Amino acid sequence: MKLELIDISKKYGDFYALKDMNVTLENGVYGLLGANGAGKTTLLNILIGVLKQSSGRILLDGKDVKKMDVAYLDKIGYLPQYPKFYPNFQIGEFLDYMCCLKGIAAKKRKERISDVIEQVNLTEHRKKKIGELSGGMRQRLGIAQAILNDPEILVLDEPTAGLDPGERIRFRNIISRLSKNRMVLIATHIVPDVECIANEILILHNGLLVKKGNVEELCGAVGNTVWEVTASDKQAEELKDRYLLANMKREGNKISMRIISEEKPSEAAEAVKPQLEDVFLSVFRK
Amino acid sequence: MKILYYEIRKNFLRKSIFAALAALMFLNGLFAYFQYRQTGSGFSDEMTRHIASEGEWDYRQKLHKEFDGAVTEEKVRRLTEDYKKYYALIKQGDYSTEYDPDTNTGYIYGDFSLLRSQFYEPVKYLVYYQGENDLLVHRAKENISFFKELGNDFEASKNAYIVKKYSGRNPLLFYDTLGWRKLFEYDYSDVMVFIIMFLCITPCFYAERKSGMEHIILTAKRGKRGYTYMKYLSFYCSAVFLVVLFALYNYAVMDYLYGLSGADMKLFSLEEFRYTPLDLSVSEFYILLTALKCIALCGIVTLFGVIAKVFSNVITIFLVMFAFVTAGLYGAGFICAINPASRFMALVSPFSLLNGAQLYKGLSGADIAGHFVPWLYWYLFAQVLIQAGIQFLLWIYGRRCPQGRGV
Repeated sequence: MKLELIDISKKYGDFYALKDMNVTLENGVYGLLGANGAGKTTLLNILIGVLKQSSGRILLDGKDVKKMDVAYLDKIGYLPQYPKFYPNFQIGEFLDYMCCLKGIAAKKRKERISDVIEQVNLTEHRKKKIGELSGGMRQRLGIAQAILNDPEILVLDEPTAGLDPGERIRFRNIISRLSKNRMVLIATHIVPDVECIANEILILHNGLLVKKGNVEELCGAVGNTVWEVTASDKQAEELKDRYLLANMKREGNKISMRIISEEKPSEAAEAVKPQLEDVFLSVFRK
Repeated sequence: MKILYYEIRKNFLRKSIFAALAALMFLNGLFAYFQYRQTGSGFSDEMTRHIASEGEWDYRQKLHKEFDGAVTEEKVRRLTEDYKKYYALIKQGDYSTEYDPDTNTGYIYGDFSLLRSQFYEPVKYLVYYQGENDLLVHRAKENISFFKELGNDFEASKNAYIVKKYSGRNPLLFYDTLGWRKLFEYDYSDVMVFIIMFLCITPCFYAERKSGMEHIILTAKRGKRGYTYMKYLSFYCSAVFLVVLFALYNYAVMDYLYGLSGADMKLFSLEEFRYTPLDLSVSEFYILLTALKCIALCGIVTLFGVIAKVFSNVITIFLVMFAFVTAGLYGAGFICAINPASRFMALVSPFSLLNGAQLYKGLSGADIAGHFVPWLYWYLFAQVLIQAGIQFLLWIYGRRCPQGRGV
């Protein structure tokens, strides 16, 4: 399966929320990174067909998705940002409703619901009302509804926002399991959430796709620009003003700093292996 | 169909709505009871158990037992004799209010008054109705040729309509009509239905937008096509259910308070409906009124739905709906107006059909190329046209907007 985005732009007046996006996506997990307002949700909304692009085309295996109409929707599963669903619905009832909406045959619904509930570890909570679920359970329910129709494209908007570390890990594992034979697109601004599960990262900045590649490629492209240095308070103040700071940690009387810079920030600085977060920061500094 | 069920489940089958419904039904019953307590006096045809003394009530019940049902010559003779007997006593000037053990109500004028206002006059109306109606039809027949000669097609058509609709009428049944009149007039329950529909519809789009469900639904195969339509369909189903529920409830309450006897009695047996073009029984007429209310409510909830969808803020939705209800009720107040501008306001107001009983009290219609068309058809046509227009706009918008969801 191949999803091609060709010259996709979205304009509001003179403002481009998304500009000339050209990318081809295939099976695997894609992390869509960007700060708030970078255009992630705009891109996702265009992808899922609830927002019309100002220009450009989307092709799925060579076919224009506009012409595919609902046949395209059949291939999509979507989880929005902070979903609340219907608090007075039970989990099973909600998923049955989603089955109806997704056109899943009545005979297969029961089996399909049991299957997805099991996949997201909610079987024992099936009779619970959605209003009684924790944030993590609700997100898992969101995944369950998204995969009901066994979609080829799974679109997740900020899926881990507001989750505790345990739930985030659990969530990541579920995504990894689901990514077999399908395309998973995760939009987030939380770098660690995609770092370990994404096959490829797309970084958006001010509506433009500024970087694309796997974690190694992106980190490699940053090259020797990430430094670690231990400095006194006074030196730390100076370095902080002059360089882009990725991290800062007090260690006794000294401060350990992680700096992103083309030049070596100080004699004592040591080049370290860049991480995705450093790539992210370096993009946004520009 | 299951999607429709879930739409109803989301918006209506909720604990908060059930609680509101229970409270409003209780309030509705209370209003009906207060109205009952304020109804009538012993000297009018509006006597209730609450207002009557024990003697008056027992006498009334006794007379109803005697005269209810088919109006026969024997009953008319007995009633006339009793009336004449009392009338003779009254004529002598016996207005004494002292207790008289030989009377039914306790004093002679009480007996006379009750017999006259609740039995003699209503039966007299029924007995004379046929003759007066035949005369009306006869004159209408004469008028047809008269207006045809003058080339006045509209009046000729109107008189032809009278001949067709009013011929051969004979109200043969006599029962107490108070309960039916009160039932036809009672409209507090319409307000209750508005309130519930308002509670259900106001947040339905807003909440889904907020909860992220709107996009989920729109990315589902059947959600994209049917999202808005299923919502509107659920509004209609719920509105019809509520109207029917309150109609049954009002029927039960009025039956309990006033007693609704003579369901087969013709509508024109009620004096205020003497010129109605309908040849229906009172129970059939109540069903017709309920059906008209269902149509009216469907029109109202469509507009509620459009308002709820267009505005994204609950307070704005509330204010716009409030303005819409106020304007609609104001327009509906002109349902029987003669002034064309006022009549137009009533025509476009979906609230007009809630006052269906007003349209049937007499014969009124408008001239369409020399043909008489009763106003009710105009109101129905206007509402169908407006609804079709709204649905067409929704469809157009749904096709043009990328979401395909309409307004």
